[in-house]
Amino acid sequence: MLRSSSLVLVLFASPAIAAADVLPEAERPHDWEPRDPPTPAPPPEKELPALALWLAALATATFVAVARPRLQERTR
Amino acid sequence: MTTPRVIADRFDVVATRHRLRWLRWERSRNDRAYGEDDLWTTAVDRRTGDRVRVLERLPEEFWQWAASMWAEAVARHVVAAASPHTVPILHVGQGVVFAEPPPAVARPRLPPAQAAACALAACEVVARLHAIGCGGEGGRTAHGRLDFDMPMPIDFGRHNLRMTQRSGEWTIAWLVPSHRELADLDDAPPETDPDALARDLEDRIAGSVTDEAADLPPQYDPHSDPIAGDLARLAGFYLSLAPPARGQPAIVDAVRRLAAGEPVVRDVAGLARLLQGLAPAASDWDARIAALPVVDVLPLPALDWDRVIAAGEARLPELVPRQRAYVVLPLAVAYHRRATLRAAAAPTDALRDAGRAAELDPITPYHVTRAVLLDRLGRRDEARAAIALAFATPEWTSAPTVEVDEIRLLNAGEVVLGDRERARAHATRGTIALRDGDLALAENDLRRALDLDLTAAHAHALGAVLYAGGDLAGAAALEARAVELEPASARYRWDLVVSLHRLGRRDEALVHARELEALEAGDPNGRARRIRLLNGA
Repeated sequence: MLRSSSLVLVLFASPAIAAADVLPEAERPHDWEPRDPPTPAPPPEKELPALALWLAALATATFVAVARPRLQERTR
Repeated sequence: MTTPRVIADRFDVVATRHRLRWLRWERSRNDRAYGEDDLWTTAVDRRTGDRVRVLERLPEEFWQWAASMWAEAVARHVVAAASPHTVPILHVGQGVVFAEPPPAVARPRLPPAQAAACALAACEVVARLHAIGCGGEGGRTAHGRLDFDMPMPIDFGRHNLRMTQRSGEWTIAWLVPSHRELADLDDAPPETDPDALARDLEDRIAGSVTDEAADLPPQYDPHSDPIAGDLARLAGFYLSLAPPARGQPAIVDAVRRLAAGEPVVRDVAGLARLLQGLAPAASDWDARIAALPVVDVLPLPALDWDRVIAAGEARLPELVPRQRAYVVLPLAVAYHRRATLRAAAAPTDALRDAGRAAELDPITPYHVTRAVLLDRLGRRDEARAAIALAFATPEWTSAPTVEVDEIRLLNAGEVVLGDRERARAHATRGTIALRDGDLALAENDLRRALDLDLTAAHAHALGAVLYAGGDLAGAAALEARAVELEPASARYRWDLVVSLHRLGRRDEALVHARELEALEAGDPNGRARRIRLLNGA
């Protein structure tokens, strides 16, 4: 009895079974992945040592002092 | 009796399509033949009363959710492009509604100039698709297998790339995105042209058509470059309209070699120029070829991520657990892609996206992106926790397998990390450690990152760690490497100048300082730095 009813069930369900998809496994669409995902921000920028900064300021002052008269000459 | 279905309040569904598998079963079992109409959902446009055809996924095809998103994105592109060579699309959203296309007839035999004109029209469609990242026959997954989720929505068969006559001239009417299942009917002899086979046979007996294997387009090769594949198929399309006869010009031979897979040209515009030689009298070719986008490397597919995410989130509650992964995995990828696009301009929004991606699919890349964004926002504690999660998940460098009854199965759920991704994880942890002052961990991680992926950013970051630890010579060597890898970066060069300056190598510092000055010429933010450089000089 049990056997015949399962046979009926199989015969009844066979078109549905035949039409059922054999599913591939779910995957991440590789093409959607960003090629350049965010990367860590660079470390903080370096500063010159304090002494060097003093020298730089001095050099700037000289630069400005030399550059000014030249600029005035040009405007004349 | 089921309730009548209406699409977008406009299209009354007349018949829902059958599945190809079911139709095949019916044919083999009950001898019931099927045709094109069985494969379409058909509807009537309320506005015009015209019949329309709907390309849609049935609800049970949940596993193709990503593919349907991609097909809809391509459909929107086609609507925007409004090309006369594609079948008009009337609606996109939960399927694509096409105006009634012309019948799928057999390929007519045309003189070379006319065939070249049809091929040029096809080139115009394909070149624009390439520009949005749509091309080739199918993608590959990270595991290297064929990507079932993302079939490319263009088909070159006669049921999708249709030929039709407009005012006496043959032209193309292409179904884009294509209905891939129609390809099943391509091999069947066309009902509309019963004489085609007889005519072909006559031509072959008369010797006007050569019969060589090379005339056929190449068999499907998933390893081939997608653009090369499309070029071969376009060349094959030309040859299907104008088969190579004996004594034809050298151009036809070039087209034939292209169809056989030889790299005669590199992009669609190149093929169009080649075909131009077959239609010398045509006047508008120059302008049309000039308008073609030149794409020799396929870009990433361009989708509207807001739309994909909204559709995915709306779909999730409808799914039972076994169906969820088919939507959850692509949806997480979409969130990650949007997070990447927003990272610079809107880091807080990007962080929310990366968080949702990691929540849906907790894999290393998403945790790393979260950590990067948290670090950028200065939320150091949370960044540390996020990067710890990234390292807590197992690291796969090749596809992992599981043994089931002595059969090795590929475990597709695991993510395979490439060297670049592993380097990004180490660089992130190293950079966070550097900001925390943990120099030993920072050095260890950044060295690993540099070994895995030699980039200027990694060399520079490791240089910063050595500099912080007092190893000026080591730092200068790495910074020099960073400058070598990215000579246009003022930032890397400045840090190298400082290291060289502190080492007392003034001459070398001066050389780089001058380069830096040239790089920053006209940059108002660079002025302060240049003033400081005078000291270096």
